[in-house]
Amino acid sequence: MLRVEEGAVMHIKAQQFENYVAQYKGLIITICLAMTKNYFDAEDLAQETFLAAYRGMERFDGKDPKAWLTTIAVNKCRDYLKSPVHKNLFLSESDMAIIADTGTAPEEQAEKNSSEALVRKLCGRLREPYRSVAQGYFCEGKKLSQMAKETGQRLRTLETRLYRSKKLLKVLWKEEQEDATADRSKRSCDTSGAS
Amino acid sequence: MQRLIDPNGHVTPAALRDFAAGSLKPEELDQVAEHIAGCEQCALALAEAAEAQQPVEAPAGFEEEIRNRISHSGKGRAELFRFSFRVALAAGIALFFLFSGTFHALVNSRNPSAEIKAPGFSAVEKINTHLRDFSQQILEMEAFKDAKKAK
Repeated sequence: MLRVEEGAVMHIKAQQFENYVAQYKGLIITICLAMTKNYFDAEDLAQETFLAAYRGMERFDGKDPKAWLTTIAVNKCRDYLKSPVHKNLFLSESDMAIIADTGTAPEEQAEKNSSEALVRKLCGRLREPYRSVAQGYFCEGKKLSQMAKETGQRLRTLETRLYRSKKLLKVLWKEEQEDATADRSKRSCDTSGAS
Repeated sequence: MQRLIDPNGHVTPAALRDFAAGSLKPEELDQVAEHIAGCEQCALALAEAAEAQQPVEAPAGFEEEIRNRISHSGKGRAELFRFSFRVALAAGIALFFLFSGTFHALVNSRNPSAEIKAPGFSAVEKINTHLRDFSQQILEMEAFKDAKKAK
């Protein structure tokens, strides 16, 4: 009898957790993006936030999930920003082999400021088979299970490819932001020099 | 630098707006985040400020990805448990052998076939005797020759 009740409680908690993810995923990514200024870091940290929330569901009183999830997200981002992993992001030779040349088309340059366009552009810089997984997941709104069904590939293979793509995309985004900052400061120097 | 904390000890609405917009400087962000991490009221206020911003869309596979990660973390824990169990079992067996006296009994048991016999010296002694006799004969022969010369 007790086991049946425990099972029912677990089911309710799992259902509650699913609702939290559906309701607050956008909010948590927004907060993570505000803190990290990197879309791919933000997406990953938002997932970490929900994983931590899932593990902590037993201890959560259910009173204010929005504040609870926000606190977890802020703590995850703080830990990440302080971690040496974030400070020393670099690509190995095998990682570099997955990235195509850095040539930027004029139309891409024009939309450089748009985050969505930047996501698309960076996914396009990956070589196959990573590019199609990253584009499907981040740009075309496809689930991995759907891609597995369409391509006949194993879900686990696609998960590994997405994991590796994310690692590369985080570094590419960081480089892109650093280049943009350098461009801005150069432009402001030129303007002040001309005046 | 703008005022981040109000006289009541909570984050100001302006700082929350800037936080949500991602426009705080790194040191300001660090200070505000440290406060929010321990203040439920400000965490809720930040969530509301973030909701007022243009929302960031999560990828369509975001929820499925979380479900997969949860299921893999469960499998990972099970594998870790199995590995730990095997290591603990092996260590337990080793300790049992060590303290139950099994090793001691094995080390001290006498195996007659494994004993090393002392080498036999009879052949060596025989050669030695022959050599001694031979050298004695030479000495005697020399002494005989000398005596003959002396005469």
